[in-house]
Amino acid sequence: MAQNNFQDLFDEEEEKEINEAYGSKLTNVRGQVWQSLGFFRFVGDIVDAYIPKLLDAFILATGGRASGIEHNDSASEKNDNDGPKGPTFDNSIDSRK
Amino acid sequence: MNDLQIIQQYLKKQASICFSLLYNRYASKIFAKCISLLKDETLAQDATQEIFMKIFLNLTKFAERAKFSTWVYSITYNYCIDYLRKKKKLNNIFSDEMEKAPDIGEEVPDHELLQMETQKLKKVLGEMQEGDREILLMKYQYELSIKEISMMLDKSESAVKMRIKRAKSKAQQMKKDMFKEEE
Repeated sequence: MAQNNFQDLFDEEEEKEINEAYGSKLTNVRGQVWQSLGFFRFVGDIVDAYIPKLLDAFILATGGRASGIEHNDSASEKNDNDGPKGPTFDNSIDSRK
Repeated sequence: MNDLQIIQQYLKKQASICFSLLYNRYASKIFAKCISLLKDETLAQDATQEIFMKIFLNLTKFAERAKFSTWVYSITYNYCIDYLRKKKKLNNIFSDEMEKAPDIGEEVPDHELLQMETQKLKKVLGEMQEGDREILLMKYQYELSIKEISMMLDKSESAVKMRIKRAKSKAQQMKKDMFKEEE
């Protein structure tokens, strides 16, 4: 690989100098960044956990069927013990023809 | 572990050890770059914090097309330039005047710059104008492509090439002037 002394400009010595001069400040920054990331993760977890429930509640409130309830309905439709199904709206149109 | 392995581990487990490894590798570099561009320790400290937030919140967007260090550099550079623009402290590092100047002829071969002794290179870069220094660092230290530099500086690729050519020529001339006794 061709020599590139630009890669050595920020060498270990310079890094050491910066760490000696600003080490405590950089440690503080690390703590603050980690704390902020933790906060974002916490908010993200809350959003993940509660937003679907809030949406379901909103759908129910506006007269729709929430995802969980819909699932139960479809399960009961498959039950063989249910009585015969009545004609659907589409069928009734067909029979008139 | 290389950067990419650490990033993958961090994205899987959000482990603090991965965070610390990346932070320790890049904190002083980012801080040094912020100080050199913002010229203020407190601002540089705040900028380092913001830049790390950007890096970690956008890690999933890191496309592995470029080196991680290059990606980190472009975030750092863009953050500092945006800050200076907002505060109107940007005294047009990359002015258009240079591009309008007549062509300088032969291009200095890359190896003449790349193989310059590190101490001499540091001194030469230290004496150069900020815009010339920065564009040489982008090209040769952070290994950004012409296209990436042109996007960062919002200049055409031909303008960037011309700018690099001139900066290289200046660097070589400065080296000759500064170290003529040794040569």
